[in-house]
Amino acid sequence: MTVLALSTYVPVAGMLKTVVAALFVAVAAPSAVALAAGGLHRRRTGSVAVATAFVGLGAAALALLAGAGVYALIQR
Amino acid sequence: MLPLLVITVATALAFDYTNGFHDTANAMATTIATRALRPQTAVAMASALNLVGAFLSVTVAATIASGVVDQLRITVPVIFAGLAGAIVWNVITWYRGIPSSSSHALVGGMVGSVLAAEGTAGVIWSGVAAKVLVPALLAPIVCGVAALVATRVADRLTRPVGRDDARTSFRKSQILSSGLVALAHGTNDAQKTMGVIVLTLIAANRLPAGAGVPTWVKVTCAAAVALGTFSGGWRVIRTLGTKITHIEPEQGFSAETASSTTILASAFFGFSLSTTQIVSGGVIGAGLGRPGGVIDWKVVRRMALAWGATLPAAGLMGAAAELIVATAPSRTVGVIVVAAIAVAVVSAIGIRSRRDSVNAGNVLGETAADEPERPPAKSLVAA
Repeated sequence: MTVLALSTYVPVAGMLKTVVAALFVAVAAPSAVALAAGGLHRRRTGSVAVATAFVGLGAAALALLAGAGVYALIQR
Repeated sequence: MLPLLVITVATALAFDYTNGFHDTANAMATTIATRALRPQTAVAMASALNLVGAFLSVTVAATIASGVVDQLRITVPVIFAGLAGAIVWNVITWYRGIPSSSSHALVGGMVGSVLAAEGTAGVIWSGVAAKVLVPALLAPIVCGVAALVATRVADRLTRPVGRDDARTSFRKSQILSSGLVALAHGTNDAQKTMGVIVLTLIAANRLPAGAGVPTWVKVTCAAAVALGTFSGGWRVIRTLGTKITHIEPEQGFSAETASSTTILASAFFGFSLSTTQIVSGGVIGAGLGRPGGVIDWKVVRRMALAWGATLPAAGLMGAAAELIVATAPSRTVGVIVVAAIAVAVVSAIGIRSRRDSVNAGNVLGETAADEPERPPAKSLVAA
């Protein structure tokens, strides 16, 4: 009943997709940064090649997320 | 008719300017608070991205006025009165340092002026509920939960890494996340003013109904919002960046990432939300997500009250402006009188604000982000 009432005022499907996207990015984005931070940490304590790979992967994941954001902005 | 049109378009651009400086905080408050960027650099970056954002989307963003008031009943003086109400409310909330919604101020001003001019038949109440009331309740919660999750994930995953490396990474990443918010703000909010100016031109028979946005309107709106952003709404930045909670780089990143995702995803899936309320929800969520994080609920309550008051307060101002215009000897005289009153009120607030000036130099007050160990936010918040 509540969902029915809500659907007259807001697009519920779009809202749910927004919630899913927000929660996905809420996990993915900090994970990507943590990966890069792990790379910075390994530069001092481990292999430089692995460290650079970690930083690169983290940065690439972030760039991908940002690219998706810009795409959403342009395509809406 | 031409002077009326010129004054109304100028007023719309003035609103766009206040929208820019009021909302600089949305993108940059947490970035400034964590010193990811220097205040002036952050504001300059937000300004440039707002300018770019205003040109990004070729479709006219669903104008905030459409679907809220009956466009067939709207006239140029009514639009002017609504804009005047929105500007005055924006400046008042800026002076008080309250991150309230400029979009809601615009809707409130328009609804108030239309109510005064045409009665309840001129307002589309279902549109007010769909575009303002329901999103106002849902958006901060959605973003707050996402920011809380992001902060917890950031905290959990970076524990083995060490504080310095984690903070360096999150501080740098904040530049990206806040940049996205600035870009989205430029697209959303500049387009709303473009829509209002197009509506004005249609009402004045200078454009046919259903016309697109003329290039000069795009350029002037983009410039106005960028200039406003560059002016830096330091009071709102201080509230959002330092008064709600103590923000560390991982929290700033989480708040901005959750905000940009909520704004962009909601726009992509077809409904518009208030950028200000989303970012505020993100900051609160990030504050709650940090272990030991403290929120100053007094500041949040004050902010929530302002959110609730924005629609009726801007509406009352819009209605008062319309009544003055309607009772004047001619509509042009009435518009000039209201414009003079609005300029006087805004100037008085501007002069008063100089007594306790907030600027790039003192925006962080005593809560400089690079101080090593600070007490939690509760004790940092000014009364």
